[in-house]
Amino acid sequence: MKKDLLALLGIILIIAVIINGTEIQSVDEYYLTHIDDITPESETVFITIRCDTILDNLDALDENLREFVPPDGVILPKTEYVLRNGDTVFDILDRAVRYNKIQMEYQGAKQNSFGSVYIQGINFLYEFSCGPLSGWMYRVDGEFPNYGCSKYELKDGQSIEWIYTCDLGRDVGAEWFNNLGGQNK
Amino acid sequence: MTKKIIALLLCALCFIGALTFPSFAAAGPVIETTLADNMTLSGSKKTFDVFARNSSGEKIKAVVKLNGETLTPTWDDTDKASYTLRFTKEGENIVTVSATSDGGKKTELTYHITYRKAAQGEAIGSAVWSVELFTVGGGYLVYPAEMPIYEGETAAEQLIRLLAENGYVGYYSGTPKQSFYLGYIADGASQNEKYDNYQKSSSPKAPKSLNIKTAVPEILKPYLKNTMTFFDESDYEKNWLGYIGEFVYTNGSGWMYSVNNLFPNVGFSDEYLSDGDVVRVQFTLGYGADIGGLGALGNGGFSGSGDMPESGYFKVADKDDLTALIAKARASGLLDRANVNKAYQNALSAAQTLDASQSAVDSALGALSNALFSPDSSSSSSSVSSSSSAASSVQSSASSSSSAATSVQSSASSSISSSVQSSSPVSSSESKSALEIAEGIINWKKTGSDSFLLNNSFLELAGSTAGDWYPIGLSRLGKDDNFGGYLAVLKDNVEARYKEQGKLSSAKATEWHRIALAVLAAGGDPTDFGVYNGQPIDLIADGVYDRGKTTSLGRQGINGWIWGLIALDSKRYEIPENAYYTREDIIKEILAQQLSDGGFALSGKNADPDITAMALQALSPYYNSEKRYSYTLKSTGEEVEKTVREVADGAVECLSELQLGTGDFKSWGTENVESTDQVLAALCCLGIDPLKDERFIKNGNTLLDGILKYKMSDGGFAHSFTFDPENPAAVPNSSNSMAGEQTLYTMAALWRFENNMRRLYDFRPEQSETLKERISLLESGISEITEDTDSETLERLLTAFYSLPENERSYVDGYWKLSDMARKKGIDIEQIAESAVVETFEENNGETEDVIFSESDKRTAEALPQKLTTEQYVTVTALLDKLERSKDFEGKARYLEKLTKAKAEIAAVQSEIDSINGEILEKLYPYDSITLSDKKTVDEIYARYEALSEYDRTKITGSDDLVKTKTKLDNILRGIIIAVVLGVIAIITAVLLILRIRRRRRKKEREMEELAQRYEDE
Repeated sequence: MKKDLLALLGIILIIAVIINGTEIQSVDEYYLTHIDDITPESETVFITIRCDTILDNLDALDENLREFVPPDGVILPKTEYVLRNGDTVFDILDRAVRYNKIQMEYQGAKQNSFGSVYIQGINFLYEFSCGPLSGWMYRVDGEFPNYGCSKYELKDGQSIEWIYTCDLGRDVGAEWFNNLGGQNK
Repeated sequence: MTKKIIALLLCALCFIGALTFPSFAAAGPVIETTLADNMTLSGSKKTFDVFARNSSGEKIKAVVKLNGETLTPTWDDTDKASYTLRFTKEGENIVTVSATSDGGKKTELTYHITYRKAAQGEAIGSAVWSVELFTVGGGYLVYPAEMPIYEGETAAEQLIRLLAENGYVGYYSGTPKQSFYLGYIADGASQNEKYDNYQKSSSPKAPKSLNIKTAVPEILKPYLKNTMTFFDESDYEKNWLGYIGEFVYTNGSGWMYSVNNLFPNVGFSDEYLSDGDVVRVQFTLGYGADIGGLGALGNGGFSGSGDMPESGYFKVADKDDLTALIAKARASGLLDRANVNKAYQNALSAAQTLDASQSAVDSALGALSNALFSPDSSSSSSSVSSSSSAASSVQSSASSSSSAATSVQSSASSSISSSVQSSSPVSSSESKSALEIAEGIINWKKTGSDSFLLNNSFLELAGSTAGDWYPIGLSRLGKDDNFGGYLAVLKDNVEARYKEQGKLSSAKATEWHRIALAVLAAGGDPTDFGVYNGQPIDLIADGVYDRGKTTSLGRQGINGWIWGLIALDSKRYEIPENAYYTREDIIKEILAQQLSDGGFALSGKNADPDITAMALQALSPYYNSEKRYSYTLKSTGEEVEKTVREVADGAVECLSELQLGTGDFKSWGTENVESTDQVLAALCCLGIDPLKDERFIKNGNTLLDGILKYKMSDGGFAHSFTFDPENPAAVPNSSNSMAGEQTLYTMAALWRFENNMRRLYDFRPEQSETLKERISLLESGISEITEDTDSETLERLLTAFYSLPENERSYVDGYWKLSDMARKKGIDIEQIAESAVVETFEENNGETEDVIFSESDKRTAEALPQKLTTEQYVTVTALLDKLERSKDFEGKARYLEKLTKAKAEIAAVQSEIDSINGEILEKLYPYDSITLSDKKTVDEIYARYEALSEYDRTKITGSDDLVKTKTKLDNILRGIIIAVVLGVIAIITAVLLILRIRRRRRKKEREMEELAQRYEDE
């Protein structure tokens, strides 16, 4: 009789385990597969990709690129990502476009003279696609850094915006333009 | 009563506490070190000092960590502590120095030090060394000179080398690796194996004797008399002849050394030097108090009579820069020039004056530096070196006799002789400095142990902005490098990109222009470079005059027009009739974008120095043209008619205005080296002397000074010094590829200007000597023009100008003067231009050599691995190209087959890589949608990834995502299997349980039945 009870208990236990899910993982596996999960403890950053300046300059845009400009100019709305140790602005952008299947083309840090990754095009919108002064710029917490995106290491809670400019940054309020104005007089 | 007093006292105490406490608490520890942030070092060891003090100025203990590991000091005294960094990790190393004092206040300094590993014994830079006997009036025992620093070598080992090379021996205790102490320096011929128990260093090949004529400077004597227990000026001659060191002359004498004007408190054997250090080995008579090094001995070691002044006898100036420059002057070969010699003698006397003021030292430094930059063209009469002055006088007489044939020459001699000299080896010192700067950059840029900069890892950059400018710079400097390899990989790159939509770029025509220049630099032909659709690729047609058939040349802005023109004029290519653009179209597009301040910019109303300078480089071949262009100014809409010269003069003025007091320029709000590079190159293209033209010297600073401001100790150049502490990952003040490449080709421009060669972007063969001479005669004629010059002379000069081939006229500097004067006198220039008979000059065609597939090439081909990876791409591509161009030899067919097959295999691997990359992008995202049904796909991709070689796997982007997805799916599957197994066990157990219960029940029933039966039976 006792044995029956034991067997019954065993069966109940097994059923409980099955119902509860059986993802049995090693610690390494757990970290690997949960690296991007957002938990209350995880450090995160935000990223947005926009090209709304093109909406005001549609004449200058290549005809066959129109289909890639979303009606509201937002390619990726503000999205939160886990900040891994040492992540740069480029790492987050790369992860965001991969996860969201957004096309991107860039020049590796080795292939250009700036020693940093240079973003040539996102969502098929390239530098010069919308006039000679057009291309991609980024700002972090509202500031335009004057160095490459793979050199900018992020901190918890920072917010990245990738913005398409049609006028070398003037149309998106890049601050160094004011400095430049002061340069010659 | 007492209570009141106590309360009052307490109040007062509180008050004092409140007053003193804040100031006490606010000032935490102060730390100073001899390290600099963002240094790059190639030595694996670096010694440095730490001065840590609390707010009362007392020395406190500091904690020094290298990459988190705490270091113990090699020396620690009441003033400072010394540490030696031993790098094991290549790349960035973090050094933190922290100290806590004043009630828990902490200060921490962080240094980022990049370490580039050098092999044991490899030269990792050089230091300037001198051995000084100034305190006994003996001048330099060893004059300042550069000494190479070898990896792993201590300063003691260098010192021994220095002494031996200069004919002396040292007597020391300890060993050069440990506890080294220099007791005496002695005559090279000294035979004693030991002297006063000190060990003798190796004997020099050419021994010299010390030859000291003691003359202790007057200023020192009273101090020595006051502070030393023993002082006898004739002690050396009486007792020590041939040996100078401790206890000679005084009880406080001996050898000390300073590194970068600090006296380290570690011995020579604990000091590891780095590039650019200045080491002055100095003889002291008063424990260092006479040479600014009193503290270094530590206070305990001092035993004198009378009062030793705390900071030494007198103030001692920092003479390190002066010492380094003296070394440079001595190595320059220019000491025979009157101005250099004078400045040099003056510098020596400032250096040797013990109590020279800092301003006297600095002014001697400035004067010598100026003299070295612009040495007199001829030797001084007082010069020692007669051979070089003889050579230059032979040359000037030769040039004047050869010019005695034409009518202009009598007035010409001065400028002719100067132009002849500027190309002669004797006075090429200025160009040597350009070359030296260039060498520095080349050595900095070289990687690995290859003798060529364009090694295999560099070749992977062919066709990119990071790659192409280096071969351009190297080739224009006349440097030999792996141009064949570069050309082969570049051609492959161009052919592959031609197959893509948009070819080299859908927007940027400058891709064609830069590549065309790189092709020319590497010895190729940009009008016939590779094959596309069975037709030869013509980069000049596709990228310049026919670019408009695809998209505007100016699609990317004014850059496209500027570089298009530069590429077009690189060999003065002719434009065919049916082309999309004419030369005039392109020139006018540039002219029309001039801004009201005279300059040019990508956008906006204010000139940008880079774009303005590049526009000038492009327009320079037309500077001497009288052609007037009519165009509409884009900024104002105004119709104008101007010559290129008028436009260019405005742009030059604008640049002169923009130059900063330090000689450099600002672009986009940042002072930087590249803008300055572009301006210097532009002036060279225009034939304006960039270092002498008054318009480009600010506060005595030339453009070259503006550039050298950014030179780093590793030979490379920094882009800028603007630093953002918020983001330490971006390092502006360390050598940078773009700053290096632009400075490199700018030095080529300068070197070519100084040596009267073709301009930077003029890739035609050099002018023949006859042509050069004709031009220089004409130039000297022009330089003599005054208001009084008669029309006849002007007409003769004009005829001479227009009889030059049209494409050579841009090389006549100063033509504007002739043109202006002729117009003033009412001379019809056009008529002279038409009637002049244009002469032809032989071209200086270089011979093309046969390409030979060498034995080492064969060995490389044989040594290719069985399983090829993209790592061999560069090697195979370069080899195959060379083989195809090489002369026939036995076995060529076999090599052709092998290499062609190898190239195809690598191409297959490459397309597999591309395909896997595509699959990952396509099938792995978004994660949420990945389910077990995708497992097969993921496993397949993973298996293909695993099949790649380790090298090729690094080319898979998102491989971590692949591994992650595979793990996730494997986990899910494993979970399911476990669930199924557990389920099965549960079911079996349940079934067994039920069977058991049933069996038991049946048994019971049976028993009952039996019992009932028995009962019935009974």
